[in-house]
Amino acid sequence: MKQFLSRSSSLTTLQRRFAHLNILRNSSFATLTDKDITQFESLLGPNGILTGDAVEPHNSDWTKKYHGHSKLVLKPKTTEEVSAILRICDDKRLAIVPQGGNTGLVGGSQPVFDEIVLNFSRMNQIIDFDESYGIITCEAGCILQDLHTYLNAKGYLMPLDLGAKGSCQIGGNLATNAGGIHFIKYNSLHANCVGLEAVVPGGRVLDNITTLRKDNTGYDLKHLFIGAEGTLGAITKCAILCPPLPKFRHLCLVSCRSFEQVLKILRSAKHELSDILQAVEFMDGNAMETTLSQLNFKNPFESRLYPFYALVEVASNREGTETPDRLYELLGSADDLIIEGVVAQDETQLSHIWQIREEIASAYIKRGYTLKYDLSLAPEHFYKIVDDTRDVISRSPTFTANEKHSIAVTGYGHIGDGNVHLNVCIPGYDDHDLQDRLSGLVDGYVFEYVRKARGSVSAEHGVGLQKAQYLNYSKSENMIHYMKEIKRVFDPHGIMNPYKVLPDAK
Amino acid sequence: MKALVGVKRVLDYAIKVRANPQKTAVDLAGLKMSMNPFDEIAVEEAIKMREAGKVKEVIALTIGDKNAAETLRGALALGADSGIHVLTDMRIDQDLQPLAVAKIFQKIMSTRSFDLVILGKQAIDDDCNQTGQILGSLLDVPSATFSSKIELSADGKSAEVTREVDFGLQKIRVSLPAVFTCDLRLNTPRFANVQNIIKAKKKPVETVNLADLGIDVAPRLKVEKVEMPSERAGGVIVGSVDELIQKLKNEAKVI
Repeated sequence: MKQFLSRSSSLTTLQRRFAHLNILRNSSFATLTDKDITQFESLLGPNGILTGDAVEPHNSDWTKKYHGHSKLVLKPKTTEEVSAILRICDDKRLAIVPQGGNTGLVGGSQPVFDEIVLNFSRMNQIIDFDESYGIITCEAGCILQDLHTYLNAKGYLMPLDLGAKGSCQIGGNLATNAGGIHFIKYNSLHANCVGLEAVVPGGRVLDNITTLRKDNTGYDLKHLFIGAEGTLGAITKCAILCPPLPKFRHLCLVSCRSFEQVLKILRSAKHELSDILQAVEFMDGNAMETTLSQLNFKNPFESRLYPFYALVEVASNREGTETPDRLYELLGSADDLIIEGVVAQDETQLSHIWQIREEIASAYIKRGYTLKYDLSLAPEHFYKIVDDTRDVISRSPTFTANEKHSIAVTGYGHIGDGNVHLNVCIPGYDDHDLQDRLSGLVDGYVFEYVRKARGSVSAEHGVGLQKAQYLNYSKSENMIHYMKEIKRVFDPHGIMNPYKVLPDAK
Repeated sequence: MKALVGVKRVLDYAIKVRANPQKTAVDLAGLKMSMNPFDEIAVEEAIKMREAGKVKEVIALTIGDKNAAETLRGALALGADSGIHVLTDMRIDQDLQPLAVAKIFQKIMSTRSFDLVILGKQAIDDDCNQTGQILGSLLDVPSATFSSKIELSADGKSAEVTREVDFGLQKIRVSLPAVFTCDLRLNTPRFANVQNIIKAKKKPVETVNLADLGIDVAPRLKVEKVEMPSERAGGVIVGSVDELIQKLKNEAKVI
């Protein structure tokens, strides 16, 4: 019998890294044995499991913050296999973490301890495309970019688009109710998902795959799974309503003196361009500078740098200058709205400008350890929280002058949806002490600010591991009570993605 | 000094090219069109010359249907002072060919004086790389093609040009007036400024009907058929050397 399990235990280091999160491994979970692994291997075949070193990439996230200790990755090919897996895991009390493209930002898709990883990469078939309504039916492991490519050829696109599209899978997008840059135009996955198939612990399959646009028969359970981050069950298939591909896109990147100007642009864009508006994004000077320098991108403003930038995209199906002119008039003629603005004159320039916005996160990760906060706030708090966080850090006695100098604080994001990404970044990844001191100070400050401002501690990235203890900052006690009840209904033994989403989940 | 810059409206560089169902031309219906990338470089070079004080006026010229006005406006937004639009419904990606284009430029220039003509080295739709050369010949002036650097002399009578050629870089000196065609490394085109795009609407554009110019613009080459290259067949992994030999002999028929 092969020895799959290594002798060493790195659980104590794990506890140190999560000191401020205070998590202990749930003792009601079984520990994986070689016999279990053999059982899974005969269920899934040798291509269906990963052990040993091959497991490692699945244990960590790309922001280099979360490191689990799983010994086994399962890669089912069919819903039946997923059902068998969840039956076995529930029977044996083996904890399991569903994982798609592993592009999450809140530690929701990596094991915390030795949970089994349930990976969907082999379930990547597009099943059908309904041309009359634009509904695509596909398996959960389909990569978002692949779905876009398939749909583009048919004159459609996926209703969501985000920087991680080259790696993220639609199952993960649904589990996290992912937003992205076109949320402002196409709304959320709750709105666009018309059918879902999920498997719950114990193995029961909830088959609600349909291409019906309207179906009011009973409680709409699929909405529980959308955004549940894999804590109620595993999504295996979906049917998504896709909008027609806008043929002609026009993009403008403008610079602003102050955040008030950015808000003015947002208000006028939403009002004057409502029928053609595709995206409204913003970033501050720090985000632009860091992205240009870390990733070697060309500055659309040549060598000029500004405190704030806004990005506005409109689209239409008709050729001609009418649509872009409305955008250019709005931004270019108003007094004191922008300092200067550039226009993408062809698809290459359009991609270039979008790339700058979409790669901001990667740029900071490249620079070093980055605390990432994804917040929904009312407009007046949007940038105030960034300024206040900078202030709190600079006034804190916890950091030396040198350290303060190296800490970068930035705000950027989907201002069209009231969603700001606040990042706090230090160079490199080696200074664990500074990392702990930084998160110790900033986590509490930011979440408390958001709670007082009645914002969301997680606009779109989800709760995962990172914010489970802060859920009560955005949801009331009664609501969390019923969430726990629902969790008990679907997952009585708590094996499904434990330690995530719900506070003190056992 | 006055510079004339040619700008052509082509299928956007990033769009996948497909033949139309009749296989008579590239399918352009409903697809994004943009300024030829080498022409963007030409415009940028002319604007830089004006910013450096070497050139006083930059005039952009385009030939095409009414939609080509957008490309001209792009050039005006980038900084050209005025535009000339030669209006025609001929297909500019295959029926209006370099000899005709050069003749049109020559006719336009016959009533207006220019010191420099700056063109992209080729259009990305027909990839002819002929217009600049033919024009230089028609005008009986030097053509400096594949320019990767253009330095105008202080007295405005000549230019030193670095050209990209097969064996490396070549430096030549040409007397002005001259025709220049631009290669990729000449400069990096700027983004168009949104306030300039609005101002560009007020810049003068002269429209001329191609038919009124009295030139023979009939194509000298007839396009017989346009089709996509055949799909690359998938590779096959063979199990043994014997199988490889058998396939090379019987299927690929190369041995």
